[in-house]
Amino acid sequence: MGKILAARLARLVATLFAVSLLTFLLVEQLPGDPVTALLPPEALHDLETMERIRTELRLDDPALVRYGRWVTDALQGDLGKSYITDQRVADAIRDRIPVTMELALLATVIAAVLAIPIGAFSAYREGGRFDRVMSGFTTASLSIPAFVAAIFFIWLFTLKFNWLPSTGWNRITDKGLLANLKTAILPASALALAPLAINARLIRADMIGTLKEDYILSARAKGLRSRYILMRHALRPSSLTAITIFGLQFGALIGGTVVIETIFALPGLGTRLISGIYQRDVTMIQGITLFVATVYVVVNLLVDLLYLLLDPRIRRQ
Amino acid sequence: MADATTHPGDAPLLVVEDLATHFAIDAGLVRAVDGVSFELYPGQTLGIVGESGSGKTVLARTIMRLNLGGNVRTSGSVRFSNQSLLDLPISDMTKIWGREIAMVFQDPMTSLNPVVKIGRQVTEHVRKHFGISKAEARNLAIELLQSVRIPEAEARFDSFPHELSGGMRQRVSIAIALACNPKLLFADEPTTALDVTVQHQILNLLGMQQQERDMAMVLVTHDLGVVAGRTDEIIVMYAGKIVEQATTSEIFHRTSHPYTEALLRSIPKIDQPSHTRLAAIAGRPPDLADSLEGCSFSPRCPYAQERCFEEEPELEALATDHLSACWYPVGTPENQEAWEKNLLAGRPSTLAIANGQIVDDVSVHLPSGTS
Repeated sequence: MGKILAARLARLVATLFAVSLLTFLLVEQLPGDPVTALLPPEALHDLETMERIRTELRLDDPALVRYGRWVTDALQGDLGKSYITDQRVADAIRDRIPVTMELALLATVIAAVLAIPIGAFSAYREGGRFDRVMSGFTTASLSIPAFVAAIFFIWLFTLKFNWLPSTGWNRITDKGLLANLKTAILPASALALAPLAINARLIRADMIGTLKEDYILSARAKGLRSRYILMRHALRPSSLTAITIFGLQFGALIGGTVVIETIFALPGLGTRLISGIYQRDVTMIQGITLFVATVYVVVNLLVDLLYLLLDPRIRRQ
Repeated sequence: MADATTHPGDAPLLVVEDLATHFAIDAGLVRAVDGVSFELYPGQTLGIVGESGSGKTVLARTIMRLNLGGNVRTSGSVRFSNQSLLDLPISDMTKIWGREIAMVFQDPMTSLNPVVKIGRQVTEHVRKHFGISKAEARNLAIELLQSVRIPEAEARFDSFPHELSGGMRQRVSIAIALACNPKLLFADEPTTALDVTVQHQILNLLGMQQQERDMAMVLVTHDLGVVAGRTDEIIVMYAGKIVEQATTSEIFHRTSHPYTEALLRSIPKIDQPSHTRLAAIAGRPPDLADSLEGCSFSPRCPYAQERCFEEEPELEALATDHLSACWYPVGTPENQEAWEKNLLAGRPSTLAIANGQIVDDVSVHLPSGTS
């Protein structure tokens, strides 16, 4: 148990090191110079000022030295300051992350909670009407990009019925949960559509396999009810792959809400990252990317640990 | 058709009449069970014996109406405690399953859910059928685990199946089957997946529990050695049909059907010298999708005559307790004649047996330790 944990932690550190180095080098390769992005157009001829700023920001040092400095600071929780707005990157993340985190969490929950019964009952009546309808639904959901679904939702729920706002964000702390959910539900649903389809298919396929197991037949021979067998005996052995996918989806959504945040004009991490890229805000891009990667690998680690809870056989190894 | 054994004064628990289970597949109609009839009385033990593919497992599952798939066609009748099982809706079957009729499956490695604790698996259906409380269920589970001789039953309540050996797991399966005190227990090859040393313990346990609970049992097996001395009556199945049906001692002492004889011959005997070649049955069971003319065992039968390939023998009473479906029953002069005729004609399946006997004779004279 301790051994597994140590090995996973070592892998996590290695992954983060690789991510940080890659991010740094990639941003380094971006065309354009942060100094030129920083200055008003008329100051661009003023080579002296540019040189001064460059020295101030210590952009003259070799790349590896700057990388070392950045990582050392990051390890102490300091992701540096934006070149453009002078805002601390950590503050920007703290300010923006609740929106993105809530969207990702809500989308993951919607995708998981709907996919479990859909997948389970499709598998139970394989080839039946429900299964066929759901197969059509999942195919459609997978082939529609999230932004198209988003636009459709806006058309339906805002323009047609006028039930939900199409833009903006109510913070829970300001306006309460209900108002918050009103602004969150459309973007979260748009985000959830593709993962929902994937989950439903995955759970279905897995359950079809599980339902052929001998222990399902012996559960039937005991006179247990179908729903009980599905939920008690079939779902849990099938849930390992599902749990993995849920975790990966949540991790991916933390960095994958960019387009949806932009469409719904939400003050999330994604929109902040986009503006950082437009402005050549090097520290902001690096900081947010590293943060997103960290969340992703930590979620992965938690998923691995969840395995141990779900399958007693893994616990023993 | 008359039952082979008589039981005055007692009503049969299970009456199977002309039961057929056919599977429609692309290649045609597979007659997995084809016109099977028998009766089973309370407390009685019936052995159903046959090779893989003889239809014995499908027969057991058809009677229980378990998991036969969408392409199955069943006809005939199954009466259990005066209910016609084949006509009951599945929701009524779930009230009978586990409570009135239970089943022990072949492989305890796969028939227990790997992620559900033993205690729950032993009692969840008791809770469903009788609505007992959690605490009562726990006590019952421990009692049951003790009754199937599982050591440290209390500790085992919270164990998972993978923490137990194969024999222990089969004991758990038996505890599950016995939990509701069923009137009828199907044991489908209950010892096939187990070590030889454990097989006897499990069979003895089943027999003991059966007597204690006065439960009827159907013991399905490919091994006549398993049913010897443990059953009241034996049905030998071949290609979905009963070929011989008699009391256990009749089957062993007055074997009538050549297939039964072949099965008996294939059991290794303790008094044979080691390295004696096992008498396998030549050929393989017929493809049940093909419609066969004549006796379905005829292609492999050492006694088969022309008539056997053309006309199918009916199951007929040789004695009051003995039914057999053969034109040339073993032990009759006609059978001896057929054997000699086939030997002279050089029929391969006949020669195989004759040769096997010669090999056996030779091996007796070999000094021990060689070969």
